[in-house]
Amino acid sequence: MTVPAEVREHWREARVSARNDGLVPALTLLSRALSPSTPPRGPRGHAVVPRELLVEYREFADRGGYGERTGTSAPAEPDGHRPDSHQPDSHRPGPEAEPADPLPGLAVLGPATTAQPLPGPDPDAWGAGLAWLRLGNSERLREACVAYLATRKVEGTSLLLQQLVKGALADALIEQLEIEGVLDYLTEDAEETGPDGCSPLAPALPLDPPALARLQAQITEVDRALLRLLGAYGFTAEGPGQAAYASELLADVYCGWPGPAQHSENDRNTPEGTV
Amino acid sequence: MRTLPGPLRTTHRHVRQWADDLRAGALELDRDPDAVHRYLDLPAVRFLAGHLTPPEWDRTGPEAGSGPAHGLATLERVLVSEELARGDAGMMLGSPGASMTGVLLGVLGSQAQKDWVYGRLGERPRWTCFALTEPDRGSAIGEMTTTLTPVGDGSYLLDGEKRYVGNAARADLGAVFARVAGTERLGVLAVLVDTADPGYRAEPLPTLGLRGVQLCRITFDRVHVPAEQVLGAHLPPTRRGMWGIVSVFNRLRPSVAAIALGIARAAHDYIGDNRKELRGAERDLYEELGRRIDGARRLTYRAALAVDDKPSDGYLASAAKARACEVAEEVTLRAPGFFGPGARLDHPLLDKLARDARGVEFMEGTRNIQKLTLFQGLHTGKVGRL
Ligand SMILES: Cc1cc2nc3c(=O)[nH]c(=O)nc-3n(C[C@H](O)[C@H](O)[C@H](O)COP(=O)(O)OP(=O)(O)OC[C@H]3O[C@@H](n4cnc5c(N)ncnc54)[C@H](O)[C@@H]3O)c2cc1C
Repeated sequence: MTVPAEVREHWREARVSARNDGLVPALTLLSRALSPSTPPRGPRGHAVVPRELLVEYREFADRGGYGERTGTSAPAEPDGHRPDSHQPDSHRPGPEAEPADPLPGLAVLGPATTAQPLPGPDPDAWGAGLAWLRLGNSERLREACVAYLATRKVEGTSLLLQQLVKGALADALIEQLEIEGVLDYLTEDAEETGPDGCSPLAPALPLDPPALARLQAQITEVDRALLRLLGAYGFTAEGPGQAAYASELLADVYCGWPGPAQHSENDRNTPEGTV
Repeated sequence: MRTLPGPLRTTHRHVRQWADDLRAGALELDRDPDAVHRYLDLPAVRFLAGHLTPPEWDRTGPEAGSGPAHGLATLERVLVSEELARGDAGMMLGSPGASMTGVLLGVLGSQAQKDWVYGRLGERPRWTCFALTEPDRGSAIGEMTTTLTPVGDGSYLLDGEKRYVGNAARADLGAVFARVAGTERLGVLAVLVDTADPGYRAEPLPTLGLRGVQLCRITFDRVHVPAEQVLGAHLPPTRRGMWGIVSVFNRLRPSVAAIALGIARAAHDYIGDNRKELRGAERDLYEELGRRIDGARRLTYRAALAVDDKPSDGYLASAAKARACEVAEEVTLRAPGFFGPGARLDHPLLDKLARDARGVEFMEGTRNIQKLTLFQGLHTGKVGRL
């Protein structure tokens, strides 16, 4: 895909900001840049947005409310039909099932209730930007792991020096470097091509939506491996685990976990968008 | 294949039915750990609290804390834990009852100690806690700094801090592991503590999953521990120290594997219940995930039987714990993929299961610790032989 230089710059900023400042500031930057005045909506209409941007969204200006997620009708299956409403269904979201903010400073929005929500960002640009942002967040998590493990001692030596820990960190790094390489190709200036119109450095296959979904899942898996290294600290609400959770939610809302439905039926349209 | 004793089958059947009720409160408890007080009348919770027994609940004797007459205590705990965690792991782990302290009492407790604990648990639903992990020290016995200082009359003063202890703020009784002042690294004892005693303080630490368990930090400031609350004092020295502690953890590990399996099954069942029709590659994946759960489950059952046969044989338990946690994370991460983007918001139970699955990793030894144990077993020829 041909991506305008300023969009690529926003991607870079999102990654750097996620790594240095955290997920919320990075999402604020990216959302302001790629989706000013309207919340970026996922294929099913959900959004995860920085709270401070809610006042900037025109969608809510005339309604006096933010349409934050409340109970919805029965969710649709990937092919768009709604599950049988007679089914015993105690765990469906009820009106009381409003989720807490996934991270302080972030709000979760349910599908837009206005008849015609304003158009959001270009899905490809937004998707790649999110992947960069999530990579930056994952790198921040890696740094938190190294810091935690360096001070955590076993028999006088730092946990960081245990072979198994070194190996796990190196594995995470390999994944992150590979992801960076894949995304990096999108941010580079178009390379001069040879007489056959191809560049030897170009990937053989494009980073289409299913491939991007797999890349997002890869980021989630690295995060999970890193979270294991943080022990129970990463499972508490005060540790870096909360930003990792918010990052999982971003991937879920904007592309979902890659599944066979996505592989085999990715051109099938549903009332809510393409699955 | 071993045939299950009849009473164990009956227990399993009943617990399986009771487990379904736990689901109803799962999301409420996830938002508010104190909601557990509203579910104390559920049969599953009453069973865990020790106030309800299934028919044919055949124990070795009428004494408090007696094990099952069929002798397969670990397998029984595994079958029960898997079913109840399928209902809701948060509710199961956050329920009143003897829980891990009961297993500890079974190995190291005298009858008088069991009578004291079970007597109090019988009065009304009461929680217990099991305090091992320390801040910046994990749960390695050799690193422990919480201290028991002898007073001279056989009693001790307990000082120190524990972290990530489930139910500690709501518990009436706790089992606490601590080092006796002035002893070598492994001179660790387990003692019973009445949480109403002066010097005990527990405060909740909010978590990202398994919120029903309400993890806590505890501080002990000169908590008086009478001699009769020291566990294992009635046993020969070889049985009361590390041997006892290791065999307690060997017995507990398969149940933690079972909790992970229960979480994985809850997510897998959710797909089956809520996706009307699964075809082609989707059905293949659904079945593949089911087979992954089955594989880990077989390993867990074998691990439980190995420990029931020989309490020191905890290697399979390490393999089962490591594998079951891996499967739980995998299945709960992939389950939302059957429902498309936004599934974790539209199906809050799937979101909760994906968060809960992360937590079991840290209970009873992380994957790295299980791998190190397994390597020891391999190296010494204690596991993996024909
Ligand atoms: C839901 C839940 C319930 C819990 N319930 C209880 C409870 O009731 N009572 C209680 O006492 N504790 C409880 N815990 C705490 C649990 O026992 C600890 O989290 C666990 O022992 C790990 O310790 P840690 O969190 O300090 O991690 P750390 O020990 O700091 O581990 C950090 C990382 O280092 C790795 N690591 C550690 N040592 C080594 C080594 N030697 N070699 C290689 N890698 C290593 C670990 O695998 C991990 O990946 C609970 C935790 C959770 C999440």
